[in-house]
Amino acid sequence: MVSYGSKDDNIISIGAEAILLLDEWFGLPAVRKIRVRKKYRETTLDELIRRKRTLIEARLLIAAHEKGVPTPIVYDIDKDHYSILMEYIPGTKLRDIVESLPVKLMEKIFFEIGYHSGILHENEICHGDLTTSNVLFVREREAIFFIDFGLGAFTNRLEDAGVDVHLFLRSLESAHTSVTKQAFKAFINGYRRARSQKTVKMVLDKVEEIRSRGRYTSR
Amino acid sequence: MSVDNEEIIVLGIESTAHTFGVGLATSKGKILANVNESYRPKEGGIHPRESAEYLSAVAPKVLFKAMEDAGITFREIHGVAVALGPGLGPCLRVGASIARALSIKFKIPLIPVNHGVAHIEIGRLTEKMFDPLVVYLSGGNTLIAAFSQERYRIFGETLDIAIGNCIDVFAREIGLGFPGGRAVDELASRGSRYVELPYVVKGQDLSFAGILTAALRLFREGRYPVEDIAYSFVETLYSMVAEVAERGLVHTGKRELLLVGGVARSPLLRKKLETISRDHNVKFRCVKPEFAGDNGAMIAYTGALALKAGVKTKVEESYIKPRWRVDEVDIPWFHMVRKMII
Repeated sequence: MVSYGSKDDNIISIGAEAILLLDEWFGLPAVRKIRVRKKYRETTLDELIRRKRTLIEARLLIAAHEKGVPTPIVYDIDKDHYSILMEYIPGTKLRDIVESLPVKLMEKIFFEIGYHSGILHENEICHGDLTTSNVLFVREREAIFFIDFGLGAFTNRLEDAGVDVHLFLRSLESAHTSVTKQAFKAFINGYRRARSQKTVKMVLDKVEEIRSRGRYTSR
Repeated sequence: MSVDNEEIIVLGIESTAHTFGVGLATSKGKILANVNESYRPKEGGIHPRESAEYLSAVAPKVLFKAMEDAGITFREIHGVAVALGPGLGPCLRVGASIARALSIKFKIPLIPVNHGVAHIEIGRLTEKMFDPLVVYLSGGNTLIAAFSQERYRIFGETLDIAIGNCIDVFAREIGLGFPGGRAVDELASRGSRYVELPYVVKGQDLSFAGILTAALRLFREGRYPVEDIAYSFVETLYSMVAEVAERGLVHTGKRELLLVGGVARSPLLRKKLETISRDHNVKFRCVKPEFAGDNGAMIAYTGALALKAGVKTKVEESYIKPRWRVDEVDIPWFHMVRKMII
């Protein structure tokens, strides 16, 4: 794995673009998410991307939380070090446990994800990387939390909402083949709860369009 | 599925876009012939009908040259494979018609091959990778895929135009001709200053249309040297690909990374993928130049694997599929390949 010369015992995880360290904030357990330098990227571009994503992630986490969408609370931002200090959520990635869930609970969770995704979109927030890897599940409370907003945006474009739904559907198709249909149905039912019938239809039509674009015609 | 260990020979035809290719390969991975001719438009991009006319014109010559190279007769061939998609309709029909004719004339099975799957299979074979995360980049396709549950599942892809198309259009508009990959890379190597361009990664998906527009606008404005624009352009494109490839490695946990398709020829891109491979301690390989672009050998080899696994089609059902996705194809031969590459 990658080594960052940090004290290993603090490392919660090393992702594709950031490392998560266990930290604390006034005695509360906290997570420090640090976007690390990517050697393959040109330096100017690299810093630009890390700064942008750190700021947008913090802003979106805060905005989502204000609208009642479950996300970790942001405690502090350090844009010079590309890091965010946030609430520690003692959960697991939904991706790792979907198949182990009883059907009823599975449907309830996907309904909630759909509902909160609808709330985000109603408030012109797009996640940008909506997948089962970016939803945490806390078993004891049967609660979910949305994380990883770094690719998101404040936007009311239909295209962006459509891409969110498309990405989520694809994460089901690629990682949870056996439950894709049920999970997506529950997701859409939840999504309908948060948005008008007309809007939902427009979003779903958009998803269809995105998935059928001329991107496979070729050599 | 065929259980015997007999080595069979398949003739494969490629004609999805601008290349007419005929290859001969065996089910044990021997490439007996690989002859390809590509249409080069005098100006502009590929016009489907003009390309199709060119493909028809060169087809007999390519076919007989491949037979001559392999040193066999039609009677020794066990099946004829053809790329039925994805691709440009008029072009696909050229290869499909010839394949159907050969199948009927010599009474041998007709094998439908997905062009994207063939790019993956030839890479697995020649680079000896059994279960890689595949980055497939070309003029018409941009996708990151890996094998899971009987198919190559797509983990990321373009949301609009293909990366190779993006580069070719940029090259053409700034006067570098077609295809433009090498010329743009060369121009970029002389640039040094990064000028900001849209960097669009959405989850594991990519979008290139905005970058193309922005880069061309910068070029027309003339405020920056064209070398710096080209440098920023390719840096942005390849960094986006590298980022998505890295995500794919982390998500899938695959230990091998394989780059295939025409854009695999770019040294700059290869360097970026080498860097992430080192960071994650995975093996990185890039398909050899003769199998990077569209070619007949990859269709023949994939067809041989498919026929061994019992895949064939009736002539009257061998429709072309211009939008045939890689993840619509079952890969029953996936594990057969193991003994050939390990």
